Amino acid sequence: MEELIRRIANRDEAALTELHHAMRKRIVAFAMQRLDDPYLSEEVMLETLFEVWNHASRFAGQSQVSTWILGIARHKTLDKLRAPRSPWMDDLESAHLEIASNEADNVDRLVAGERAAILENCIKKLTHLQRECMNLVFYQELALEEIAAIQACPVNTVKTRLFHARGNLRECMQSNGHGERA
Amino acid sequence: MIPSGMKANDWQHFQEMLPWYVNGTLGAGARQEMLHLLATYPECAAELKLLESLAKEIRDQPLPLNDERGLDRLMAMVRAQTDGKLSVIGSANVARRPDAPERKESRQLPVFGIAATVLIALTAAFIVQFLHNEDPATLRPLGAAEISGNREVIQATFRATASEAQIRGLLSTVGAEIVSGPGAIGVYVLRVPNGRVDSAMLELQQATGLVDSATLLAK
Repeated sequence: MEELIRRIANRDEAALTELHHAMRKRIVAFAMQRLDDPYLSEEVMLETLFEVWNHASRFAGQSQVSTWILGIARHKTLDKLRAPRSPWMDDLESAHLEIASNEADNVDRLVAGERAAILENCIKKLTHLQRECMNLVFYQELALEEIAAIQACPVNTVKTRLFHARGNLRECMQSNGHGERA
Repeated sequence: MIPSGMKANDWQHFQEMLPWYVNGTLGAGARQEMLHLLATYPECAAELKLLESLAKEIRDQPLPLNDERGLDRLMAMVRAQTDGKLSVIGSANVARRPDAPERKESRQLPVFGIAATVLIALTAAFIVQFLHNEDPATLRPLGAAEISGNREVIQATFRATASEAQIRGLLSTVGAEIVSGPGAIGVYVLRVPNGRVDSAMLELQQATGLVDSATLLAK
């Protein structure tokens, strides 16, 4: 990945394409934890990779590339949370939610099952920081110190945050009749 | 509950470090400690199984978006920047970088260009809205236009290579008007008159050189 960043610093568009393939889903999944909005999350992904394109030479190698990129994505995500929301986004999202909801009803019954839907709902009930932390551990598979760097807090805070997140998740799953596995 | 024979501190330490054992990022020493606890206490092994299951479910959760449109837009932004043109459809917000002083001077013109383009678009939209609106009392700016109503709504995205003139020409041909957009990822919301949605959808879907996607959202 560091080689990719070096190539991007030399304005290699093929390297940016490779980075997009490697990081796109990870950035969108990460941004979704705070924004809960696929459109804004996609926007965060684009802005993040564009920032990498323009500032690849600033990567100092003091962390993993993915940690550096997710750190940029976090700033972009927080910018989005602070920015006013376009009214048309709400309309468009409502229309999409309706479609997604209908699709989800079918898919859940036929494929994913009730548990996945309940887990998703339980994750949504966690605080934003807890959700973000869960994503960084289990989806991004980052080390404790890297997560502390991204969330700008001590490692003990990360441990406590995740401990409580797991507790809340377990409680939520149990209250929905799915406690045996979470 | 703390496993019998296990110290409370060890149990807490195990619980705290287990997520990083699961994601494989523990150092060799810490991993060895965890392996010892897992081999000694069945409760620890059960806890591991639960967390591995949870981790898998989190990793397997589908993302709402899963296509390659983003790459086209990203590369369009890069090339627009290279060419000194930032007014790529939908990328203006992405390309705006007030925190980059070294490029501030070179971005003055594109920023003014974007502002001028937006102003022209809003003015044009206002005029179109004024001409087509039956009730002047309900006149509203483009960004606040309602999706609901007795017309039919299509969401569309256009190829990064499509020019604004080409898009306008196509929309005129199919009889669609822009309700809002483009968003930063290039999404337009279009409205067509009653009874024309099927033909409009067909024409949009056939214009593969310009249209990336067209989806009927509401009636």
